[in-house]
Amino acid sequence: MAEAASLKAGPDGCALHLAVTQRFAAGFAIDASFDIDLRPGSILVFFGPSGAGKTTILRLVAGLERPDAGTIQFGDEVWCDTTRGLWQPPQSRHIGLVFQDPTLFPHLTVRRNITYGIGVRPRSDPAPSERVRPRSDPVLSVAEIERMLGIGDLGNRYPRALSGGEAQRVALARALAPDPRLLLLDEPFAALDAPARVRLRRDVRTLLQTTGTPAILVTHDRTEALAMGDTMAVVIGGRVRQVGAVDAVFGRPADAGIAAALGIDAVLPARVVASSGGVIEISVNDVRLHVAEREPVSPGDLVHACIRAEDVTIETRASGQASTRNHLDARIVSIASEGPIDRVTLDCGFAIDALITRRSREELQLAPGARVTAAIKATSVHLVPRL
Amino acid sequence: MDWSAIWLSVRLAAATTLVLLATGIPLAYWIVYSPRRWKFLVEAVVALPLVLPPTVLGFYVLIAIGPLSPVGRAYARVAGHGLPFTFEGLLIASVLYSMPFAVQPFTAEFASVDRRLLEASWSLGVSRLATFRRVVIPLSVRGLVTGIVLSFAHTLGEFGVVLMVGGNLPGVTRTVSISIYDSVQSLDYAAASRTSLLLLIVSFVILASTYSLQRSVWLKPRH
Repeated sequence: MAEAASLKAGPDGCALHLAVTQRFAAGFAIDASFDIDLRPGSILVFFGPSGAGKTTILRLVAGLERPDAGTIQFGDEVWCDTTRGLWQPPQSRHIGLVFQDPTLFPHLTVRRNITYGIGVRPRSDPAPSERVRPRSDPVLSVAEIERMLGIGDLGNRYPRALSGGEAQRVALARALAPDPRLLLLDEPFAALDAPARVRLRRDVRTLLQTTGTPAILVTHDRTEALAMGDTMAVVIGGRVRQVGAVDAVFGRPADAGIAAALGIDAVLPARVVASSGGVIEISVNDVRLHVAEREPVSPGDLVHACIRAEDVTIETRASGQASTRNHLDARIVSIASEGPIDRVTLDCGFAIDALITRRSREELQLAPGARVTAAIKATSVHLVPRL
Repeated sequence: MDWSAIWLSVRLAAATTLVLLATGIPLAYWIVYSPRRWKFLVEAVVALPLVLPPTVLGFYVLIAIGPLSPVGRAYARVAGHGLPFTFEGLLIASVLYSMPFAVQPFTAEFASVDRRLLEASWSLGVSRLATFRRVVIPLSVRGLVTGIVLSFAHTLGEFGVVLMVGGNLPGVTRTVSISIYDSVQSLDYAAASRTSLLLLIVSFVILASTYSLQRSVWLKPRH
């Protein structure tokens, strides 16, 4: 049985199986199913446009929504099975949950917010949960979590005296303090300003890797998905349309609808080779590209290089002097007509699309198999450092 | 001044408030969190005393606890006397009559607690009941105080229901408002005026201190 096979997680990982349907009064419906292995400290991104149902699926995983029909299984624990009438409430799932807004308990101090869930064992706590991960010996103490999140000094304050970034850090500490087996993050960075967002993303990544807690992150932000995700599930119209490693999904969208949701850029996994004088040199499949430096990276860093198809130009012979930094030998793989525009798929050591007018294509006499030069300006390559 | 009537009214108001605290909180909890579609019917029944003449309510309570009803007969068999024209009978009527003054503020305050706070608490392993105790109750102090004070003040001044169910037995069922009525009937305007003034001042002080408390920040920290 293929389903059973995919549930077999590695010795450390935990498989999440979900196959549910849920109808809502307004006509919206969730019909989602996927199996994925959540490795310790890894992040699964639910990615998709607003209103696609990402948050609802997360709430189904949390046990805050009950599906009309279906099963949810985490490791060897059945959280929901409507045919057998099995249901675990959120209390016995041992998850951590962080919303878009901090939603701290306003009548409790920061310290009492963070320790709120510690030492709480539901009376009907099922024994099987112990098999998945021993909870008696958390990796990090509360003090260590506070220190790593930089909120060690806030203990006696009340939530109303915190900035948005501080409050969200406290909410994270509160979710992680009872040592959950799975952390659920519902756009937790969306309400923060850009610098706070970037810092918190980095800290969350570090924390998860330290504790080994797997996480599910809901986001509609490509940059966030690329920076934080290890695996991703693309959610469109209440359905999970594609599941896989982030590189694999961005590199090979299963169909045009998914490609549209992911955006039109080529997303190429790359490594920083050198950086000097405002120009970064990266390696994509051993092909070197020059990139204008927008944010600091160091040699050895792993990045995603994003290139829009309209920023790729095609030359039939190497031009002499031009400001364009990247000239790559390429072979035309295919040409697809999109009205007056043609989409030319090139292989230049990695796959990339170029959008050109039909007239250009005719003047340059481009055809599949032809050898050309792909030109990409250094300023047209956007790097997303991987956290 | 009719001190025995005043003392009786205070005892009745205190007992009514205690009973309403014990029954009103679970009832309000059920109204707010129950998924039942027909709960609007319960809400309507709870609100009835707001619009019903006290005599109508009193009449039905009198019938329900009297020797004509199985409940009344059963009580009489156990206690050795009937419920009408006793303090206990008066208490039952008062609880029903003041029910909306407790349950409605409780309900409004429970419903105003951000649902995501409850979800955060549940996800941290805290049961629904413990979440209610640790999150909803502390965040509903204003509504609870309002309900308590209104129940107390409302019971202190009730007249029609008392007259129907309790009659006018000194020290047993003759409350302040009945005593004032008696004074006026016997043309003792001076006594009526003293007792009325006392009731007016007490009621005003209670309400004024409640509203001033509600203004202060410590009751419910806001963001």
